[in-house]
Amino acid sequence: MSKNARDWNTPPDVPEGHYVDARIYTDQEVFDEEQEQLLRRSWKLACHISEIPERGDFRTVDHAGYPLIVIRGQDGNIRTFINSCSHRSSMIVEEPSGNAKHLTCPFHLWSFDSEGNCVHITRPEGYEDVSICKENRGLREVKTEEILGLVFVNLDDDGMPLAEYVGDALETFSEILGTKELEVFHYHRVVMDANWKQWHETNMELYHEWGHVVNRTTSVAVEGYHDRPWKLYPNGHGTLEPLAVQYKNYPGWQNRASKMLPGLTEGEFRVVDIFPNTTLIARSTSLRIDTSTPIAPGKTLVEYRGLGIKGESHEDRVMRQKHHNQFWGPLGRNVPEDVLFVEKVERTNRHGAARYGLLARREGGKSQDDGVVRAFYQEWKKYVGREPENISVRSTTSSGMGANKRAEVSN
Amino acid sequence: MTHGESDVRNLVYASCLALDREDYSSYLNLFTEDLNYRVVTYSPELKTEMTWLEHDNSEMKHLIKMLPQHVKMKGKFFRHVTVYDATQHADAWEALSYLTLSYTDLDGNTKLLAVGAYEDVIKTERNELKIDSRTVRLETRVLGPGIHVPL
Repeated sequence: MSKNARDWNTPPDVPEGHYVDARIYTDQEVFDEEQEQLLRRSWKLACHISEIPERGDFRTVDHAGYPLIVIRGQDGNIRTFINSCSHRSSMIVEEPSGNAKHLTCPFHLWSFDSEGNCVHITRPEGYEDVSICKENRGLREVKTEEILGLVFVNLDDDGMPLAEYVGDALETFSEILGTKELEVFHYHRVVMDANWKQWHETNMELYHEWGHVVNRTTSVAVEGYHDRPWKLYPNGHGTLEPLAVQYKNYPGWQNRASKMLPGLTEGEFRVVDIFPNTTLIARSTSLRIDTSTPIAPGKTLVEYRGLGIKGESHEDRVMRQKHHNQFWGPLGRNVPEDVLFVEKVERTNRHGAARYGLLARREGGKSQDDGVVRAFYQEWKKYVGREPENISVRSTTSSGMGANKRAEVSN
Repeated sequence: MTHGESDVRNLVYASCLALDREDYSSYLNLFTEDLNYRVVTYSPELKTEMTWLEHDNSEMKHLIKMLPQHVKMKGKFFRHVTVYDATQHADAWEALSYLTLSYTDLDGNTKLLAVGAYEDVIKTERNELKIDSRTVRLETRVLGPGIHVPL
């Protein structure tokens, strides 16, 4: 039976936490609060250590609206700075990567070393009367830590240590990431017309695998697919018990039976979602890491990385690239479809045509149970302090871990 | 039968027209059995060339055969190509063409999706010119949501 407007706009009759207010994806105030209270207070993947292997190597990234420089210092340590000159706030570096002993702002030629110290002020005598000098004009450093080769940043100086934040959530990836030296061989971006949370929902709710012909044939159809439990961790992370995917079920593809990444068996699929917006997926021979950067409520940048074993033969790399690209490249059979899915959702959310999104699947915590997404929104609530089911309501149960700290931060 | 530069140009153009028409049977007929098809681009982030797709003839046929089952961008792609150079070697031609790929959605909105180049090696197979290898070298590195069809 179809619904009239009143019924359509009435919250679904499901348990608390089993749906979200669609305005959670479109409301500018919610977006701004997420930036301030969640994204600037939690850990975000910046890059992999292989992207900055040498002293002086840097990568520039955007995070929560801030341009950042991640640089390996002359002392070998990785640090991150806001990519903004301490003089007139010009972006210092435009290039996505490079190598520099000193970072020199092109505007007035102030220079900074890889530890963020200001090492040159052009014609400094003009500042003698106002106490401006190199010693008090360093760059704003951003908390940076590494785990299993993954470089994370946190704009909150007082954020908990990365290892504590991640906890045991990377346990199913420690052998993959930590046994052999890996390197990023694939990087691409998509700017999608969708909210950032929608993207990460697709990384968590596997019910949508029915929408992909490759996933239907190679995974959903495999015996045991529906029996795998999700494991939820503190701080909003989740992993799913592995599956032996049958790639040969898709016409023209072969099973992945050799050159597996460390710790993986033939066809093995693993996934871990690190709250709020980083996901690692392993498919036997290939590894994808994606992370999002919200641009506006309905616009999101997602970066995709593919990793292989450093120093492997050309033949092995070609195979690994092929396997990576089959699913995840910009001409792959899976990722472009996910983008189209979330853009279709955004199209009806945009002006309120849709009021609620269901997260109500209950399959005993198994593969296509929405429990991991519900856990995501419980964690989201702690930071943002609003009820996901009705964003107009300020949460009374949340710890307000973002809001309470708002005044403490000095960026 | 001797083939000239104009035949090489016409072959490159025919490959674009066939793709634009979604006439995949004609498109596949333009390739040799030994086809190597690649889409590559340089990553300034990684400071290396990346391969985004590499298919032989059989893999290309499978890719095309499965297209109807995928959820993909609906609308039309138009390829505007200019062959800038065609050089004859002992057993093959090399052709360099610049590609502009536009996309028109179902509402009639058109946007530029990608620019790049075709680097083709063209050989004679059973007295017909065929594309033996095509490298699509993209300048564009953000391909909309991603694309299911050959570029």
